[in-house]
Amino acid sequence: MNDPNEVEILLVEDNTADLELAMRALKKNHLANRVVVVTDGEEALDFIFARGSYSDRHVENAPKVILLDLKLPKVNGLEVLRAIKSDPRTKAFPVVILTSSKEESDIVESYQLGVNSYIVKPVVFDKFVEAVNNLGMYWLLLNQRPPPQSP
Amino acid sequence: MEELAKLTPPDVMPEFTQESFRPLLPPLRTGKRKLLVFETVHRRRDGSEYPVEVHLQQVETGGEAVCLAIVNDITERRQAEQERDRRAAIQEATPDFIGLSDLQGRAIYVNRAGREMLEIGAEEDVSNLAIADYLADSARAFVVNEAIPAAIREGSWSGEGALLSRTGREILVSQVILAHRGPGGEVEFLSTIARDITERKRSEQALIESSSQFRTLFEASPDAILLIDPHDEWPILDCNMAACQMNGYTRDELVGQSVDLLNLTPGDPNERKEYVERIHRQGVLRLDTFHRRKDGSVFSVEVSTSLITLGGRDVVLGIDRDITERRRAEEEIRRLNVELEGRVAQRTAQLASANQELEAFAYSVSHDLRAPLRAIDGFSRIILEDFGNTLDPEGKRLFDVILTNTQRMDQLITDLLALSRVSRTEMQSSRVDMTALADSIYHEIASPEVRRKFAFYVAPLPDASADPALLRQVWSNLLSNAIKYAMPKAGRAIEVGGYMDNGMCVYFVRDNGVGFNPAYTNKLFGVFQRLHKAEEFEGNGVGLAIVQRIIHRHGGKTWAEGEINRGATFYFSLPAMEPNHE
Repeated sequence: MNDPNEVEILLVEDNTADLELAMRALKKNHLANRVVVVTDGEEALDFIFARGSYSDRHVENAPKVILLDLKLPKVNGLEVLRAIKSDPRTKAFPVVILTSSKEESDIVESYQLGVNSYIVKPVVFDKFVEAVNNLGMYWLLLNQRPPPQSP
Repeated sequence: MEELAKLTPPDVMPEFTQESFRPLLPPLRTGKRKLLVFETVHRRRDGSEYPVEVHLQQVETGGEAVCLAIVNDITERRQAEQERDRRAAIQEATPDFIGLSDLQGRAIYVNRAGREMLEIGAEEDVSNLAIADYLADSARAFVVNEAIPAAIREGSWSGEGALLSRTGREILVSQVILAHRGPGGEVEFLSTIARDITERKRSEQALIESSSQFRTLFEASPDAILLIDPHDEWPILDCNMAACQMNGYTRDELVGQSVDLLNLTPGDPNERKEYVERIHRQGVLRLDTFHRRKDGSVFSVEVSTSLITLGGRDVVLGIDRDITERRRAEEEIRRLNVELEGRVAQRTAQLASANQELEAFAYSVSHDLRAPLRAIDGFSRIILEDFGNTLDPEGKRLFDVILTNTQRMDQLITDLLALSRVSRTEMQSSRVDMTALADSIYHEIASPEVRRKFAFYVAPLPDASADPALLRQVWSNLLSNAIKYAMPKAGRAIEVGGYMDNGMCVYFVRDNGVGFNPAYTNKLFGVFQRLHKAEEFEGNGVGLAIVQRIIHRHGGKTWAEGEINRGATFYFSLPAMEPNHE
């Protein structure tokens, strides 16, 4: 793994099969270089807010995009999202929900909490690869981020 | 005297002249008449006149025939006569019967009103009429045996009797019988004054009858009725049996007592005054209150009070109705309502929790069933990608079977979730233009190439009152079915129509496609029920189940008609809109 302060993608995923598929899709799109994977909500919050095992990080060094599953052990995706979007230091971080859930309530609540994108994982792998390609292209290459805040 | 001697008869009798006086004398002179009596007036020296009766006769005085006039001043007699005439006029003019008879019961005089009453001619001689013939049977014995003897004994008798007219009409009278005594103190004449009281009697009778009817009503009423004097302590003047029973008192215990006996709190004089004014204003006042029985028990009453005039004074008429039963029923209804609300709340909570479970289940299906599918699909593809060149064509075909089935299962999950969402989402009804909706959905789901192959016709449809999003789903499912099953046939046609039937709006989608075996009609709308093989037609048997569930939720029905190779018609009905809906 690379320097935790120079992470481009934070991937929050507990399902190992999904994780492997996601990593493969990222690799296919040459986006897997600076990816950090965490497998539950609590670890995700530790990373984002530079706590616990990530205390040597700086909160301000935001990943270019956080790919967040909704169904996570310990702290679920919506709670992670709420924590990010209600902290002034992190609320500008781009968060993309990447989930199996097409439930309207999940989609509505995510947007109310300030999610930047909501993507339903396609069951068909080719479509999944395509979706990952699109979001990587957009968030890593096209999207212009706000200037980092000085510590 | 000297002056008198100089006067001639016409000088003292101004009614006569020498010429008119002179012819009176010859019959006396010739002895043809001995005495001439006439009345005239004399004039005094001062010019005043007075009535006189003159008796003229010829007498011999010293052999000389002299005319002797004896003149009586009759002023008093005249006055008496005039008085008598006046009284006679009064007797004749009065509307009351006045009659005079002798002691034998022979009529002597009957006045005009009496003649009219008895139907005796105005000029007819009454002197031979027997009084008894003109008494009604009902009164005769009493008048003859009691009234007349009483009058003779006492001088007068007064009371009620009944006369009988010549034509047999009975006249009820109030009468006075007077006994007139002669100089010797013996009763010589009887007179009667009688007044026709037929009318008065009739109205008295009517009054008696109506007041007895009132009494009957008063007593028969199941409601307590009290007459109350709205003065001082508001004493009870009268009350009916129901009032006694309701309050547990006898009439004697109630009459004369203040209404406070029944009230829980004594009345305040000012409030009572205001109360009477309110009755005056409103006519009838109704209020629900409580009364206390003699035994101390308290019960609910509805009191209606009004003012009536009785014997010329205002009296409060109070009608009390025991509403204990009604109160109890109301209380029961209230209790049942509360219970019902509680039960509804409980059921609602159960339903909500069931719904919540269903939602959690659906969420889990949506999320958790997909993950393994994704893994199967994803890793199958990875094998194909990474090890594809080591697989023979049969191995690749088998992987394709896996991939096809994962996709089918994905679709199945999607459709099942759609079906469960139909039941879970809240409906929001509004007016829906069904003609426009059916048409627009057809254009949405059928590509231009498909549309070119079809004849599509929408008849004007009745508007619906329903959830527009759910109706979209209905039209979408039915129309895509029609397209799907008509596609293999030549001359593809889809007809959409509707009509009103018995308070329901009925809509249908008819196609001329492959149809279905009518024996399986009942399976059409079941979940996962398919009448065609997956190889023939895509689908998993959820579409019509969704349609049925949506229509049922709206209170409508679904049904279908079809024959193999002769097309199918799918119907659904919705309750017609209320006339004033939106």
